[in-house]
Amino acid sequence: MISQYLDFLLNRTGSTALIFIAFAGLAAWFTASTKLRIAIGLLGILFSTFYEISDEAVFEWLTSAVQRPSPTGFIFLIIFVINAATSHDFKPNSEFRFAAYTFSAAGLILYPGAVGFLSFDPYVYGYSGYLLPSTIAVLLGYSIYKGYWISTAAINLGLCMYVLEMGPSLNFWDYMIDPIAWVFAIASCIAILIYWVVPNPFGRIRNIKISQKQLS
Amino acid sequence: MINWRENNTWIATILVALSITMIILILIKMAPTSQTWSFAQHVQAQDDSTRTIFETLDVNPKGEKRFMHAASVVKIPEGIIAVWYSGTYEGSRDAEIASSRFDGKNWHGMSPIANSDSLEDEIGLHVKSVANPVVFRHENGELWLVFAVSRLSGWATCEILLKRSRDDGKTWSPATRLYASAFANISHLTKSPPVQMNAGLIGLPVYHEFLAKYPVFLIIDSSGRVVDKRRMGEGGYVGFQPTIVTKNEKSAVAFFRRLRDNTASVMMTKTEDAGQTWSSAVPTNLPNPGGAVSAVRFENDQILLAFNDDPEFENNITLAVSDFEGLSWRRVGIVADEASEKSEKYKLTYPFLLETQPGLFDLVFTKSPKRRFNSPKFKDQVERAIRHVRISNEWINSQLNKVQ
Repeated sequence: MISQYLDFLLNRTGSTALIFIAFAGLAAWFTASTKLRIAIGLLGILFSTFYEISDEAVFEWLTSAVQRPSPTGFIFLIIFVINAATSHDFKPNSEFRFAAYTFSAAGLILYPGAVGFLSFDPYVYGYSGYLLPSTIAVLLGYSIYKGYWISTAAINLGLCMYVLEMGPSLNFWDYMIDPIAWVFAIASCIAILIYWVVPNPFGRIRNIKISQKQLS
Repeated sequence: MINWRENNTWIATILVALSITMIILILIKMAPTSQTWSFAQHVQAQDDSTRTIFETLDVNPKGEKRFMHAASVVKIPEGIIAVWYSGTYEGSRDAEIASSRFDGKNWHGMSPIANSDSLEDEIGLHVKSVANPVVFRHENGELWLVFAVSRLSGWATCEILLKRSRDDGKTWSPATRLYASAFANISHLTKSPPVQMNAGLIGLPVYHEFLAKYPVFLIIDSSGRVVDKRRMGEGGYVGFQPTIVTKNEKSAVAFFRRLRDNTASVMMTKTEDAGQTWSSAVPTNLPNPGGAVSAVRFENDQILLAFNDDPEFENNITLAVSDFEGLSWRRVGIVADEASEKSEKYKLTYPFLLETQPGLFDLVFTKSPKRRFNSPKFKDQVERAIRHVRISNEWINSQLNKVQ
C-alpha cells in the first residue's frame, strides 16, 4: 500500500515541476519577486488539477504523458524550478553545461532508436552488458575530476536506485535519463549556443528598442 | 580540477568511495545473461482419441451490439476461459476486459475483469482505453493476463499491463505495469501468447506502434518485470503482431501480419539462439490482407496457422499446416467463411489458436461489421460476436487427407 502511494506521488513529480516551471517562468516576464513567482507557480499547479479537458484534469493528462522523471533527470529539473522562481542564470556554470551536454548526447543516442526511427534500439544496452556501465564510469570519473559534486551525487543516486531496483523499470537507462530531462537539456544547449554567439541577446533587443525610441 | 580546499573534503571522499562501489556493483549486476536463454520444451502428450470434432459457437450472448474484439483462451480445470475487450467503439473510454467460461458444451458466466476506471485506480495514471487481452498459464500455475492500455489517445500511446489470478480467473490481482520503452513507456501492445523459457522467464511477442510498427520479443521474469527485449525480423519495419512457435531449445519461428505497403503475404522470421537475434523477415506463400495470424505447434514437428486466406479481404479464417521451415503450406480448410454467408457485411479477424488438450484445438476470432456497416445507421442491423471453433487432430488430418 505504501509503495502504491509512493508510486502515485513519484509519478506526479515530473508534471508538478513542469507546471510550476511554466507558470513561474511566465510570471518572470512581469515580476522579479521570487515569492510572487513561487505563488503563481503553485497556483498554476492548483489550476491544472481543477481545469479539465475531456473529463480529465490537465494535471492528470500531463502526468500520464510525462510519467515520473529519472533520479538524475529530477535533479536536473530542480535547476529549472529554481531558475523559474529566481531567474538565476545557470548557463555560465560549467557543471550545468556538462549536465546539459551529457543529457542531450544521451538522448540523441537513445530516443531515435527507442521510438522506432532506427532499425536498432539502444535501450537494450540498459538490460545487460558492460557498455553503459563503462560509459557511466567515465562520466562519473570526469565529474569527480572536475569537482562536479551535484552531478556526482545525482549519478550515484540513479546508480543506487538501479542496484536496489527501487524503480518500476529494470532498465539502467530509466535511472539515468528521461524524455523531459532530454528536452530541457536540448533547450539549454540551444540557449547556451545562442548566448555564445550573441552574448545577452535579450539585453541587446531591449537596448535596440530603447535606441529606436530615443531616435524617434 | 579538484580543489580539495574549497570543497568539503569529507563529502567528496564519501562521493568518490560511493562512486567506486556503485560502479563495481553495476558491473556485477549488468553482467550479460542472455547467452543462457533457452526455450522450455514440453513434449506433447500423444492423442490417442479418434474423435472428429468440428463445432462452432458464439462466446458472447446473441445480439451483441457493442464493439468486441481480440479474444484469447486458456485451459482451466473445468474447461476453457476466454477473455476479450468490448466497449461502445474501439478505443472508447468505457471499454472493459470481459471473460467467459466454456464447460465443454456452452459458454456462460460472462463477467468483467477490468475497465479504464478500475485500472486508473490500480496504476495511479490516466487510462483512456483497453485492448488486446492475452491470457495464459504461467509455469507457476497462475493465470496471467497481459493487455494494452492507451494512456492518452490512440493505440500509439499504449503500454502493457499485467494481472494475475491464482484461482483460474475467478479473481484477479491489481494491474502492474510492464516497462518496455525508454520514451514514456510507449508504445507496445499485445496480441499473442508467450513462449515459456528457462529459469522462469517467458518470451512475450508484442509489437511497437508509435511512428513505426514492428514486432518485438519481450523477456519477462517470474515477478512480471521486463528483463530484456529484442526487435524481431532483424529490426526491419516488416509487420506486427507476431505469433511464435518453438521448435526446440534454441529454435523458433514467428509469423506476423504485414504492413499496408508490404507484400500481401504472411511474414516470417526465425531465431536459432532462443530469441536473442531474429532473421530478416521473409514472406511465406500464404496471402495476408493485413490481418492478424495465430500459430501453434501441431503434432510436435509441424505448425498449424490460422489466417485470412485472401490478399485483400478478411472474409474467412483458414487453417494451414507446414513444417518448421514455413515455406510449404498445406491448407487444412476454411473454418469460418463470411463470403459464403447471405451478405458480406462482416469481416473475420484476430484469430487466436491454442491446443487446450492433446489433439484438441480451440480457435477464437472476432466477427464484426465491415467499415461501411460500422456507422450508427446500421447499428440495429449488424451484430458482433466472439466466435469459437473447436477442432480435433483427427478432423485436421482427415481434411489434409481429402486435399491429398
